[in-house]
Amino acid sequence: MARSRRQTFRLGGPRIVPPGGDGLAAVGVGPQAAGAARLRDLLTLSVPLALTATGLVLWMLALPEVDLRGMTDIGLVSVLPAQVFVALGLVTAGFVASLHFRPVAPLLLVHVLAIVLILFGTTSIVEPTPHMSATWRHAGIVDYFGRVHHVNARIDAYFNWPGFFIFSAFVANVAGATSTIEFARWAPLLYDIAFLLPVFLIVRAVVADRRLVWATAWLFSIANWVAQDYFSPQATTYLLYLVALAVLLSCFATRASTPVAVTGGTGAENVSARLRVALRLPPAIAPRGTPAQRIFLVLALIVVIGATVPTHQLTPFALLAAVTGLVAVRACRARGLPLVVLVMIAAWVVFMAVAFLSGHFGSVAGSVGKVDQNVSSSLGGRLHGSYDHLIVAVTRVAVTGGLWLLAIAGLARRLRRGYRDLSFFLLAFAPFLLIGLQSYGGEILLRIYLFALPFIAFFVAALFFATPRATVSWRASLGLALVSTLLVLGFLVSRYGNERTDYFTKGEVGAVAYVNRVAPDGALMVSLSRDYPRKFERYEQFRSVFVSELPSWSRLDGSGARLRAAVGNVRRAMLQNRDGRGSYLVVTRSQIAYLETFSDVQPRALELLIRRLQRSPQFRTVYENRDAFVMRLRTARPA
Amino acid sequence: MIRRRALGPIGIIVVAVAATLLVFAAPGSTARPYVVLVFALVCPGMAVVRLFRIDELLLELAVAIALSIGAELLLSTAMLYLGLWSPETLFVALVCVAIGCAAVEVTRIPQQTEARP
Repeated sequence: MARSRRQTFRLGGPRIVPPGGDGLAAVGVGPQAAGAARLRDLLTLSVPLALTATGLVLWMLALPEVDLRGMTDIGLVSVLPAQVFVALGLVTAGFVASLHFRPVAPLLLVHVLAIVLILFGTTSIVEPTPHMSATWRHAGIVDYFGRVHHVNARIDAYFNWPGFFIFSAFVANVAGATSTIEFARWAPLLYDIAFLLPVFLIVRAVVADRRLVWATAWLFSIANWVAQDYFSPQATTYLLYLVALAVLLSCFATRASTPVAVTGGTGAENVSARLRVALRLPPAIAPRGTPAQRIFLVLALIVVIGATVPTHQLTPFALLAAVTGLVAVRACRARGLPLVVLVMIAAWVVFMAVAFLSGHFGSVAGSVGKVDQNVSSSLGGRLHGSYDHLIVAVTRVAVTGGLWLLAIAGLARRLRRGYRDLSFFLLAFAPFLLIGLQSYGGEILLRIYLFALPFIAFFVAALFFATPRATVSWRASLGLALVSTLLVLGFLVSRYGNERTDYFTKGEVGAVAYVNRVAPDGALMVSLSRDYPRKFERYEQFRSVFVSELPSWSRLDGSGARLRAAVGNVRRAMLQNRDGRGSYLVVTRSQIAYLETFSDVQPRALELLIRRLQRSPQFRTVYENRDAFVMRLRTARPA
Repeated sequence: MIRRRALGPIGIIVVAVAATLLVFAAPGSTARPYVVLVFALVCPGMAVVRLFRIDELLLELAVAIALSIGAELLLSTAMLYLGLWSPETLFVALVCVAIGCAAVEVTRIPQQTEARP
């Protein structure tokens, strides 16, 4: 009795049953027809599953053939065997076929997990170490907190928003892990699987049509090319961001998601009547759950959003924009939440991040309100580098822009059908307010895309499944298949376009590990560029200098004068630290790849520079392997 | 017979006890990182969420994961800033919360059953 009285948050509206999908197709018909229906049931279930299973097998068989050393500036796609593309095609076909014939949740989940495994797990399997330089630095900061147990806010910006690193140090300590690097290797795959749950809940809070829900989850995964799912504060706070929105939309919504009547006021002569129809909103709904449940969920939201505040610079502002927007248009009952979020952000910035802000106030405050500068640094600032890399950069713009255009078309389609997805519309555009804050190192447009992605994916999916129907047209399914194929191909180029510089060999890690082992406290690590697995141990004890970023660095063209100047730059950089006695020059394969990709330096010129360094009487090699070497100045005494 | 509703809290207690044993009694075990990770990311939040009977499994799971991460992140950060860094203490506190909340949930089950006509 108690159970029947209790209010719950059970979600979802009337289920749309596919033809024959509920197994009742045979009721009331003859045995022959029943047999045919059973056969059709079996085929619609097994064929899509077989397609995806074949795709997975093909993909696994193809992985050993990936030759990372053959990669060009277009990234991982240049070394993927043809079987991987066939595998992706099969999984896509399997998903679309399932959605068309039999949208059963467990089956659709298998397809979505399969595509996530292929798209986000490939690098974790084929690459010998975790990719991206930032991953290694983050592991180094976790190592710092595990050793030092103290926040030195003057080290760098990470130490002013250290929540993620302290949390990771806590878990690593209790788990008995000496380093978080092994976990970091699998982080992209784990995070992207975790993102699916709140994205699913977000969409299901608003629509009951399972085709639309699963198509959104699918599109979200294949369009998430921005690579913010590595072992990082952004990935963790993004998960919290998605869960917070899922809770707000599931439990604190104020209006039903039913369509409004779009009849009346359609005559061209009556503009005000048409406007009234366009602004018609669905009916209000009663609060969900008991007061105790709602109070608990508000407190849980404060904890979840509060955890983003000491962890990431941008995500709390994205949450503030989202929550404020929802409350402002009266789409959310948690009316006091924006104020709580604002107070938490202000308290952290004023009291805890003051060390960073006092040193960087000009650069932080200087970007506020400068929308044009922030946009140009995100867009124009990235369209440079080698010809292949320009293809990558243009593909990224095309994928992002194309998806936005499709989303706008999907939004228009939903509006025409009477749906007023006000919350989703708002949450898709609220992240744009971040443009006015700062350029975020030229990444602000990427982050806006990331925060808006679940809602963009929803509107793109709505282009094919605008209204719930028992059957779906071939045109919609083929359209989804076409868009998915283009997105998957775009994903491979966009996501892994920098992979030649982002992946690291064991030799490269070995060179840095050597320096970590022998260098004295306060040593200077000099490198040609910033892209190598640095600072994963003794984070606070080393300083870094990147020769190619020094003002005196000029573009290498292979001429003797330029090469001499470059060697002189390296030497001067090393002399900065105790007359060179505490300096180590670390040159790795990835640094060279970075310069070739992003700074138009000819490979021949870099080859000559390295030969000159190795032959120079001013340096001596103290460590060397196939992919990296470490040098010291000859004048420097052994550490 | 164990009632279905009791499986959740019993599962939380089992994982919490297993994690505690691995951390303190078998620290060199290969299972330790996996069990501790599952405990830390799900159990404390799930134990608390279940007390409020949201009865929507996926929503419960999402809130449980986010609440576990959020609470542990805030508590560990506060401990470090206050100079009270002690991962073992925080871990034991989380185990106590998880087991305590799960035990409360278990004790509620028979009362609800008796209340039925």
